[in-house]
Amino acid sequence: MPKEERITLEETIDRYADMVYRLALSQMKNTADADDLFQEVFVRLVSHIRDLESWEHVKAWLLRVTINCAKKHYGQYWSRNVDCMEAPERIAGEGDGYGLPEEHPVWEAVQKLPPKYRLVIHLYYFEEKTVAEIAGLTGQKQATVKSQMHRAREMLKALLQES
Amino acid sequence: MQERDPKEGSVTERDMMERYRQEGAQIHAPAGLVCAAKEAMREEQKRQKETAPEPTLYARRYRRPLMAAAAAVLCLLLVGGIGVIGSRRQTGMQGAGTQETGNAAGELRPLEPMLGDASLDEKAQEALEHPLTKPEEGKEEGQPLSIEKESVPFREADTEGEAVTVSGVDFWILTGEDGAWMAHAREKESQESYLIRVRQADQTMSREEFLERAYELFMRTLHPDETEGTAP
Repeated sequence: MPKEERITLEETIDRYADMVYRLALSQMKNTADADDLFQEVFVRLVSHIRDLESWEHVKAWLLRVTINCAKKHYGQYWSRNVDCMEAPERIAGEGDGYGLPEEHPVWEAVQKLPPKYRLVIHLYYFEEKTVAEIAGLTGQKQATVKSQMHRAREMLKALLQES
Repeated sequence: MQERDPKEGSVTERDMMERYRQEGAQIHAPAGLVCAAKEAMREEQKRQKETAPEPTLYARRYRRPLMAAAAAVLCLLLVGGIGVIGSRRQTGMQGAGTQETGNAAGELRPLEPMLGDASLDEKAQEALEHPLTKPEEGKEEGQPLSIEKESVPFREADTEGEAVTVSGVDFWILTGEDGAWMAHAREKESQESYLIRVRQADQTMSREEFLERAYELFMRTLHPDETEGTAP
């Protein structure tokens, strides 16, 4: 681990900014909340950086904190029944470098899934985590994770066939 | 499963997820957002430094080694304390043992000179076995007492004194005109009577010692054959 604290924090954000942002975006489904979540995660890192012993530990910590912070937002979102999908143009056309291709049907379809299904799909297929690791990150049983993945895939297939 | 063109609206699961990865890989955190996050982190660091106290021995980085050292010291003290207590108990028990022995011996010692309380028969037997002086026939040197046969047996009614019986020998103890001990001794079996006196007015001889010596002298005089050889 790098010795100086400043370098460590900066090195961490440079290394894992995209990972945290993608997860935040997949969970929050709008850019403003994703930006807030992104910033909250790295500000929290300042207090805990000394407890992290390796880059793998840092990565796991960032994923776990992003998931937990997103769950707090879920409570606010779903109690107010907010429409969970922004227009794709906002995501792709802001000009801030989000980089989504013009056509992104699978990403769109995943965003339509319930939050817990989105999470397991993203962690399994994008972050390439195992079922056990996903269970550890989400605080669920492995059987639950497998069940969620199965249902998520079925729903995705249906959504993609419709589109 | 047969691969299908995504544009036709049907894809394999593998293709689906691969498409998801490709689409997601093109998402990057905006540069402006990263800069804003870095600034926020610096501000948080600064805030924590201003509010946090100076690192002391109780800081987190020192806490674990300090606790480990404290635990080690406590264990050493505990083990040492147990060892000290154990050794003290042992020495205490040993000391107590010797004290008990000494006390026991001390308790025994006072009994010996208390001739008044001890069995006169036993003391008389001891006097015969271990005479203070070895009597020699015809010689009275070293013998503080004198003994002579009484032609007329004494009668208790004729004189005042103290009656004491020692191993079958009746003694009538009294003091003479000079204050010295004297005693009429009579064997119950033979009814022979002797008068035993202190040769010189030895005021230091106690009654018990006089009686012991008188019995020894009486028995040697009356039964010289029986007492022969008992003397050391």
